[in-house]
Amino acid sequence: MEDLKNIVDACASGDPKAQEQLYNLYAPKMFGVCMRYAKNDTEAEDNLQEGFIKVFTNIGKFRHEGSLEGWVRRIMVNVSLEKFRKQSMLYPVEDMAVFESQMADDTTSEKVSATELLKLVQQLPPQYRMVFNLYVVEGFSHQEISGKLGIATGTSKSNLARAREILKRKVQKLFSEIETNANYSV
Amino acid sequence: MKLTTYNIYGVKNNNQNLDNLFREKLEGLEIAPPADTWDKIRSGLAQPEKNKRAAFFRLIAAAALVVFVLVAGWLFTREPGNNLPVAVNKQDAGSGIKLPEQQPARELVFDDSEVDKKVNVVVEKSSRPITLAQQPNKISSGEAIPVRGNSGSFRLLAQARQLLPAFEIKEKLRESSKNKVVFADRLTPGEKALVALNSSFQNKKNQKIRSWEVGVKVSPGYGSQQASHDAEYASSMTYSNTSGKPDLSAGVSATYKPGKKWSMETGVYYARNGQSSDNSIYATSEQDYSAAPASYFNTPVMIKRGQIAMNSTAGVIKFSKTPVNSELSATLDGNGLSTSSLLTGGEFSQVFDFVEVPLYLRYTLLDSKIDVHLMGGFSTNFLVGNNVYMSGSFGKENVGKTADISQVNFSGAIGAGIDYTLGKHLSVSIEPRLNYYLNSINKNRAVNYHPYRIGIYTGLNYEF
Repeated sequence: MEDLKNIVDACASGDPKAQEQLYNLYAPKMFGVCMRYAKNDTEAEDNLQEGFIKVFTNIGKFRHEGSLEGWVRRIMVNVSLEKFRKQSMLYPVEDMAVFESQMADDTTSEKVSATELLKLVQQLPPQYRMVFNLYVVEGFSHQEISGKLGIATGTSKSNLARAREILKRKVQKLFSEIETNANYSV
Repeated sequence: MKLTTYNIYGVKNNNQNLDNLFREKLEGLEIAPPADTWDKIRSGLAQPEKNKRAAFFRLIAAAALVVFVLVAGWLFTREPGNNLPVAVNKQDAGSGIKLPEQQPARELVFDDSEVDKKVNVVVEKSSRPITLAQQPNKISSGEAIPVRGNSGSFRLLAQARQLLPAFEIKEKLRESSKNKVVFADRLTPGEKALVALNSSFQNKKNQKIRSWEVGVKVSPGYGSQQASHDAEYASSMTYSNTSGKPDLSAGVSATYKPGKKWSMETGVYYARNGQSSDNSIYATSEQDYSAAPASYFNTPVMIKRGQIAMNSTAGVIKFSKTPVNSELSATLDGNGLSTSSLLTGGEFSQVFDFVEVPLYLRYTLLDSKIDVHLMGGFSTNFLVGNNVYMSGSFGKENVGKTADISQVNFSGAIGAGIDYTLGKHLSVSIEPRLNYYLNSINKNRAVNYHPYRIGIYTGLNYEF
């Protein structure tokens, strides 16, 4: 896309209009990415902000090989992971009680199921959340994840398994509620 | 999507479906960010440039200050006057007269301004006019010969009403540089010859005195600091014991010597200042640390937007990562300033690296094969490294930086030393020196931190 190349070049030379254009183009999707990794809106917004600042500061280094969206997305993921690493000791991994007690909201609309799933992911303990996102949505291998998070591949695997267990339970509950409600509708 | 595929049989299948569900829904998920996010990004982009520009100007200002001090010092230490040879009578020009070893050097100092104003010209009928020699060994009588002084050539024909013996001239003139040159016609031939030869000898030595010298200096020493904090800041610091460290400083110097006594040095030095904290023993029985260190470091910390900050002796430590083998726990009984506590086994050290550009003056007390001198001066010090380390049983880890440290700092130095001449150009020097930072290197008003260093500077110098 020639348009995109022009926008990128304009951003590289500091054109604020081009920067805003780029932001508007990718912000919703990138906010979606940040929301998955963060535990709440505020943290996601912080990461989005920091991510875009990194994008515009480094856009001069972007060579037009590969997708721009992918490049921006990688920056968002890295910023999110960095935030996680700083906080990594806040919640010892074993202490699950905090998270397991959180109940999924009660919603029935099909449209918001994405948002609902997002909430379930946000409710995961931080390290499980990181591993789940990186493996399932971003598609990294356990090897790659262990490098990014500084954990053993075995830990990555067990984290993923635990994350799946939690999510499965919650999803089942969620959808059984939906089914139950659906059964009563005519 | 068929929800009924979620069953307990076939775990792999189950996982696949779950993964797919989340992936499909979340991969391209778009959510509108808050409206003010873009503005925050814009201001975030503008900030670093402003800081860079400010830092650049500060550096320029510091460099200008150094140059200014250098020039001022050079002007200040210039000695007026030049050493002039004394003329003797043609007939008595002593060629071949040997100069005794113990003859003290003759030094005649000239002041230009005096000469032009009042030249005491008295002609004594009985004596032959005495003139100045252009070159030490060539004498001609009766001519006024240009003689070199500070402001260029000028002519002088002078005879003193009060004639002093040549030897006394030296003494008197040394004391005050405002004296006119006086010549004695009462010198014996031998003395006149001595004076002439001395002058030539003197000239050569003078040419050597106004000289430049470069040197390499290495200094082992001990660096420490003077630190104090305001009450609020101090209440968040657990440890108060900080100790200095031995370290090594090194650099190159360029020294200018306008005269025998004074010299002025500048150069570039690298110096490091660091301090480490002692562990505070925190006894815990609740938690089981698998690689439990014997003592724990426990300090209240502030966590803001994912950034851990800890009050420490040299300033607030901003952690770039949580140290290995450490735990953050919520503080219930805090003093309100911090919400968490950092527990870790290990010692924190805040280390700063500086590039120092000094301007030092030295005054020679004793001038012989071994010179003794005093030194004093100032130095402009640029921060080039700012790191915080944690050391423990697992090694040494870089955990962050200290906040609010000034890029440009100033220190004063005093010392004394000896120089030993090795050869025509080479000499070695040993100089114990105290270097004290005049400003607190931490810009935060709550922290007063003045590094200082006591070191022995050994140098190898080459003069040309």
